[in-house]
Amino acid sequence: MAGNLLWWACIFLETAVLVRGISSGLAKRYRLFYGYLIFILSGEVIRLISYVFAPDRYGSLYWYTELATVIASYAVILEILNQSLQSCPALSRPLTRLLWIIFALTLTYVCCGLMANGFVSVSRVAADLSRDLRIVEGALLLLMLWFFGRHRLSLGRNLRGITIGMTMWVGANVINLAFLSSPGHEFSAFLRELLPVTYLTALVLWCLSLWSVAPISTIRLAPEAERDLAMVATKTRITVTGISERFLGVLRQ
Amino acid sequence: MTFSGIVPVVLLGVLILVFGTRLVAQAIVDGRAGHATINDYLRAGEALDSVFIEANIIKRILSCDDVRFIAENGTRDVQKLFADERKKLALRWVRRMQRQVSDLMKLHLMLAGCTSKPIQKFDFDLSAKYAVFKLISNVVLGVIWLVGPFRAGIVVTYTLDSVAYFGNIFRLRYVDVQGSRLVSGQGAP
Repeated sequence: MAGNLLWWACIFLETAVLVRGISSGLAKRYRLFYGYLIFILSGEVIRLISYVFAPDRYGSLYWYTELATVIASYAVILEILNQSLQSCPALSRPLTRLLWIIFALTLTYVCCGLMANGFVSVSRVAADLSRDLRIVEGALLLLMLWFFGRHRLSLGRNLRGITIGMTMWVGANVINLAFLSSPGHEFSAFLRELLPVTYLTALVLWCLSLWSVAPISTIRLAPEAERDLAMVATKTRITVTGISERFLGVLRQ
Repeated sequence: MTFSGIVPVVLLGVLILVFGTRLVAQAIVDGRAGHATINDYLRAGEALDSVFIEANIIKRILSCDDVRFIAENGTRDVQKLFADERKKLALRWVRRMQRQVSDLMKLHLMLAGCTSKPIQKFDFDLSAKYAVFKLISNVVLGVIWLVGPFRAGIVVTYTLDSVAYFGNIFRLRYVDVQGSRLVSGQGAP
């Protein structure tokens, strides 16, 4: 009963975020994220129909949709990266390139995995691949979060909401998937129960942060300043190098 | 998945959640403080000015002339008190210098996110050098704590020279980055 309630609550919130995003115009700004939400919502509806009308097929269908959803969630990572670094082309280009390379490698890995397993138990393969893809996605997200914190990038309310919601969801998923292979474990059962609640919390967060359009708050520099900043960067390097070398000299004596 | 396989995955998940929490905390702090740009420069400039002035004062305070004078004229208690006071002062000063270099790094990293030229290689290089600096400055702290600032004379002299050098360089940087060229803007909705 509680599970069904959560299910319906999720569908309701996904629809609310979508409708609100379209009416406020945020869907245009964050196309990939809203595309991902449409994808999730479609998956939920398909699962619900299967649960009601063909429950025997629900198990395998769950893992197909889960695999597709995990692949689609990479689009959100790309969206966060592109949007957050809009004013920083120097950082955006190499990082986006890196993301595409990792995504291509991961997809190749998925295809190899599917071929190697010979489609004997597709749901099993899908489950394993979902786990591996989520782990790679988690690693990517961690790298991005570290980067944001390091450069103190200002994301703005909308993008910050998307990022924090995604972080909660992916983080909880990665931990859950690690314990999924030991189903007898009590903690594993607890995590499985907790996962839908985490997703619901992420949806509430998305709903709140994306309810209205907020400005993309970033520190921007006038074009002329950039030339100076390159010089500043060189001076910072000289400073730190100088200090390090002097201290190293002290240590050698 | 074996136990040894579970541990790194769980660690990854926990780290994601920790970094997510950090992002929330950062948003709260930034929300309270606002996105200072020119203010950052002003603060950094003031902090470095104080380092530069202090470097000269500290040089005088830790000079061996005072030690010689106390050794010749002071009693044992006075000598001990003098050494303890100077040691505390030296430790406090090195810690403060560490904090100010750390502020410089934060400021630099904030700015690095806004430059148009690729700086990744430089960025990693700088981070490595900063890590070395942190390590060695901690070693300096340890040396002063163990043998005192006068016996660690060479260390202290080099530290003072480094700070003077650091102050000069950053003062130049502060002058170069003109406040009027920095604008805090907001993107279109």
